[in-house]
Amino acid sequence: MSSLKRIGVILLVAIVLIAMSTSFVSNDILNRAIIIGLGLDLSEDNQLVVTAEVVSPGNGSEQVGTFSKTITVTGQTIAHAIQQISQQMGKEASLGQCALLVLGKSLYTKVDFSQIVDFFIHSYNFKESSAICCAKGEAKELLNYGEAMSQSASLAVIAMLQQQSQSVGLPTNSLLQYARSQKELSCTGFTNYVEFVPSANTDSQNPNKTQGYFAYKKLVVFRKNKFVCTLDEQHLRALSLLTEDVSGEVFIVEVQGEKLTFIVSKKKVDLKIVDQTVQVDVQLKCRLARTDDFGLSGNLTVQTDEDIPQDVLDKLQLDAKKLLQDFVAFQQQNNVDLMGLHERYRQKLGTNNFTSSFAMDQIAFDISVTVKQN
Amino acid sequence: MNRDKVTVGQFSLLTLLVISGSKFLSLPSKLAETVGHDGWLVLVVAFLWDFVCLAFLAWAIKLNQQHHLPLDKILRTTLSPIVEKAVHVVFFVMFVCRSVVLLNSCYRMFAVTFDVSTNWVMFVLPIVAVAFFAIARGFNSIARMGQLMCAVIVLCIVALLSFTIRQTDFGGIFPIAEAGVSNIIKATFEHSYWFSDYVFVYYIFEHIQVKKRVFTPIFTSFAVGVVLTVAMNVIFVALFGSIAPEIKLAMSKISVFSVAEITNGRWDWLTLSVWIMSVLVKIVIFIYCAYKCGEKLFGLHFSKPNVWMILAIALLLMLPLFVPAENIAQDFMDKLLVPFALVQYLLPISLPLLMTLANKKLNTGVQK
Amino acid sequence: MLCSAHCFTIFTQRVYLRRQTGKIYCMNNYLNQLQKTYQNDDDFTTRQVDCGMPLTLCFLDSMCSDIKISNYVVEPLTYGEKATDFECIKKRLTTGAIVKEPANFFDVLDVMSNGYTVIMDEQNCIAVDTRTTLARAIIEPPTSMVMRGPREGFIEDAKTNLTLIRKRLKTADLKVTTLNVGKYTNTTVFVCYLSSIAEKKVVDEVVQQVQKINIDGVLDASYLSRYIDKNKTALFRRVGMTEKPDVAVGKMLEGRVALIVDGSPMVLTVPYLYVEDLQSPGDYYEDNTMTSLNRILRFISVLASVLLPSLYVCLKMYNYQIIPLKFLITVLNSTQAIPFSPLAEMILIIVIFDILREANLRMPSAVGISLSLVGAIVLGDAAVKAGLIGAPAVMIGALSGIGLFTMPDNTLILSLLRLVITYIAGVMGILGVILSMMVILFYLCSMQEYHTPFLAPFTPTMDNDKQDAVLNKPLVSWKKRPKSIPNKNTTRRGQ
Repeated sequence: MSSLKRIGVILLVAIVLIAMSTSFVSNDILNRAIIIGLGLDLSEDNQLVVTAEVVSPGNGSEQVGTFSKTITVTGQTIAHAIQQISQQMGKEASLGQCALLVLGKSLYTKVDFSQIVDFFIHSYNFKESSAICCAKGEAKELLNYGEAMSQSASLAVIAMLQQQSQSVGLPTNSLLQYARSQKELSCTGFTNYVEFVPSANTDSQNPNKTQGYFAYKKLVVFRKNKFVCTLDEQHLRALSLLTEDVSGEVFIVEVQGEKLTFIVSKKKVDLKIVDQTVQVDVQLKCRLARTDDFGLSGNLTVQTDEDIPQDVLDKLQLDAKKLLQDFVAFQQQNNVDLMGLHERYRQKLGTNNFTSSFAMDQIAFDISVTVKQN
Repeated sequence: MNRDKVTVGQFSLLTLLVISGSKFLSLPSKLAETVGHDGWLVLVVAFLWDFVCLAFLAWAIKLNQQHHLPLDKILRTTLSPIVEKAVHVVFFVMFVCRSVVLLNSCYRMFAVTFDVSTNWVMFVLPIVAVAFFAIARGFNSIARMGQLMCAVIVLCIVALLSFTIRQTDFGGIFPIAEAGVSNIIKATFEHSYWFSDYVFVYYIFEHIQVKKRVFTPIFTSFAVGVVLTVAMNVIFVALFGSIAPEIKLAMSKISVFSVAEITNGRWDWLTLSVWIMSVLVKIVIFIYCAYKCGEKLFGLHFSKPNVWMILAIALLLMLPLFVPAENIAQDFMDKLLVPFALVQYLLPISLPLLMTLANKKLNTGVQK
Repeated sequence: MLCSAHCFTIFTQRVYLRRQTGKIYCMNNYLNQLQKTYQNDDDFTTRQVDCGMPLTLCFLDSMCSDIKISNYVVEPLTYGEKATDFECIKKRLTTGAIVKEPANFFDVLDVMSNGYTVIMDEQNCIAVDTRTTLARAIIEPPTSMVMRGPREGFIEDAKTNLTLIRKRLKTADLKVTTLNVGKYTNTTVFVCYLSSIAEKKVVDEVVQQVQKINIDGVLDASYLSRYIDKNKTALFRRVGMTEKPDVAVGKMLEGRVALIVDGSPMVLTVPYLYVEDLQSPGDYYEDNTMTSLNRILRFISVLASVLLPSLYVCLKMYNYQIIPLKFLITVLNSTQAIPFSPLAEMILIIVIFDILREANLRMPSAVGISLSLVGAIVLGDAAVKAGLIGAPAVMIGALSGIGLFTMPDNTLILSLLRLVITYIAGVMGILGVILSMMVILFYLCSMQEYHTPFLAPFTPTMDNDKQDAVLNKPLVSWKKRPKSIPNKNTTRRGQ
């Protein structure tokens, strides 16, 4: 190779390297504000108040205390607010690790938040599998309870809604499931409802510190991203009974003056549509609850050796049926479809006038519950 | 050693790779937009037609084992040099357009899923450089690479899909053919240029070597590719339901659901980054074919890879700098649908006949 | 200086003689020529002997054994019966086992430089093997230790090495072609193969390739390996090297050709497959399940070694969302005070590791241990404590460095590759890593020498050959020889 050619090759390589280095935009994790949970509220002047729980590492290799802090900004739109977070923190707000969306009461009870849901559905960095929930009060408040729980508030909620919910009788919806429900025929869906419950202070060094835990006893129902109603604990139990992949519902039965607790360890839910009647057949397998029974579910659950008398099983069956009948009546009364009946009708009959617009009270329900010992 | 030599097995595996390479990106949302939850049926119909064409192609490959005739020679001998050039022009445009569309999908995939933000030029040039390297090493290296990576890529796709199945309610795909059979067939034709991925075979036609069987490996690979692609589309439609048309990059979003606990990181990136190799291999194959088209169009044969030719192709791939890639995919391709359909569907069906005629003519010429 | 002048004289003499092919010199002329050639060389020794007829013995003192000269040449000539003619000397008065008759002066120089003693009168000349044995003991080779299996290793003496091979291949099918390479070193190269297994065209190509070599000297087998590689491959080794006779024989039984180079304890084998890098000599003496597991482990560790640093850089610079949150927090904690970018940090660690490895290799063993300790403690722990390098990066750098040694023959090239891929990852993110892997795969897939694809049996797929690839099948089920290596006889076991 002649020296001129060699110089040419070296120059070319240098130019390519320089062009490459300047053309690809990287952002080190240290220059990112990594958000793990987002809270959305509405201010009095109808501005969007966004609270972000951001990872805040300590110094040195060992982490002491909580590793997150919250930042609250106000913006006209969600994108504007996220940009405000970047500006305030001097780092790029990154939603790739965000797995929770909390809607504050001021937001979900007052306005249609379709645009916000669309924003997250269309964002590639935001995962549709994230959890979505509504706060009892302000979302900002909820995300700030991390200190009270000595852990990240977002991670505590995520742990419950994504990892534990299936074994404690808590039906949940991911962002995708919620967004789908708002765009399908019934346009009705729910999110979980989270409230902070204060408990007695056990920290002798900080007697004024708030301590407590999160409770998930309700659900909030939305139609076209507008608030419809709130489901109480009984309805939540009923919906849970109708959700096949969730178990762990608890029934308390009084037997010979003693209160016994039974837990649903597995179930089979069968929904059949015959003309305008929906036949709901729920088969429950229950067992006497023990401390080691929580979290046990699924088809491979071991059989219990403690016999449940038939009269107790009958009582359980009655309780469960009543629960479901009340829930169905509630849906008919409020014309909300949380059982996905519109979708079921569509799957059977295709999209037509009836399937897209029938009211819940047009449908008759035939509910049967069978309870067996597991 | 023939650097472009390909065995039937390697060709089959490459077909499998290219089938599943691109249809997991922007096609599912386009189909969902047109025919709703029946998008997967469009795939089934298109693949049925592809199957027929592939059968004729496999037959032609078998017939060609005697003389190893290249496509240009077959066309020149049986039809005319003008037809031959016209076919090359159509193929050239097709390969460039499909490369642009694929590159655009990849560009977005890397930007949104892997956070690789760069300009179009710096994204395309390294890929073209890799393609140039592959051209320099011969098609055999691409074929062997496909053979090597095929099992891994298929495993990754299966892993991605099987984890996602747990969260999918397949009721969403019912009622089947709700969009209407005529609409489905119409959509199949309108999106036909997304199919017939085996078209690269025309530029390696004379190099394909048959050892034992022709039909079994080709159809086995094709069947696996079809099953994976249709399964992915079914899962996509069932998972995203009414919001499917808004999910522009299917695989990027599907993979998120293959992770059990989202705070445990996205391990799906491992499978995704292996799978994306199949898309890149497809782009490399199309650039190789465009390069060969160029050679044949101008009647050239380069013993060493020609830098100017590859630079010319690279320049054409810069088209999205001036025209949005979406426009190329829709408006431009719509206008060329008929010539594309001719080379995609008419050519393979008539190829065994053309080959027999060419063989006869050549034999007569030799005897005279 | 003197030595090189001396060599040059011999060389010019040979060139001169080559030009004079066919011309017969009288023996007196040979002696004169020899004296001229070895002028000023005290190593060249002559001795006059009378055994009924006057004879001259010529030899190079340093190359010959005094005892052998005395026993095989001088004693029979001086104590034996009187010779009547030169034929009688050749047949009865030399007791050496090997006696050669040099055809010309060039041959005379050749045999003398190989330790033969030349006996000549005025018209005739013979050479008796009196080579001195300057070989070390046969020990276990330090580069390929095994837990079980033979511990013999090749040494620097080609003849001994050939003996070690023949000891294991007691068959007339073992053929040896002797070639000499190197203008000055005139190094003996034995090309060994099994005539009933090895494909003739491969053997011929190897012999031609060796004959084509035009080099001053061959000091080790590695010199030869670069010339045997037809494509002059820049990356990855294309010629097998082994220090163990059992390995060499194993490869010959699969149809490969072995090249023994005098002066080198390494025996070369061609054709070479990439999968051989995964194979260790001990694999064949262990249980096949363990062997398979070990090979998978080697494969994973090499892949991880090459890719881990680049992926770490990628994840830190581009793909933060991929990292599990808790690990991300750990990484954030430990890298917050680091003054370098992730790319610079990782490249620094790789370079430091390579410096340590290189220094360790050159240090005497006693110092080497302390150096590695000092290196690990000072550069690792202290750098982390000083906040120069993050602990996760050190861990990944060290893991990657150690992993490379599972494939010891390719450590250097793999180390270079990981450095390049890490740089590309830092610049282009995961796209760069994927494209780099594709280029490497295209490169590997396109390599083919001596009718053998480098990546066989994976691509092109050869099911039979996979019995000894990553997943090792039991030895008893190996019925056919590898198809990837051209061979005449495909049956390994049975009819």
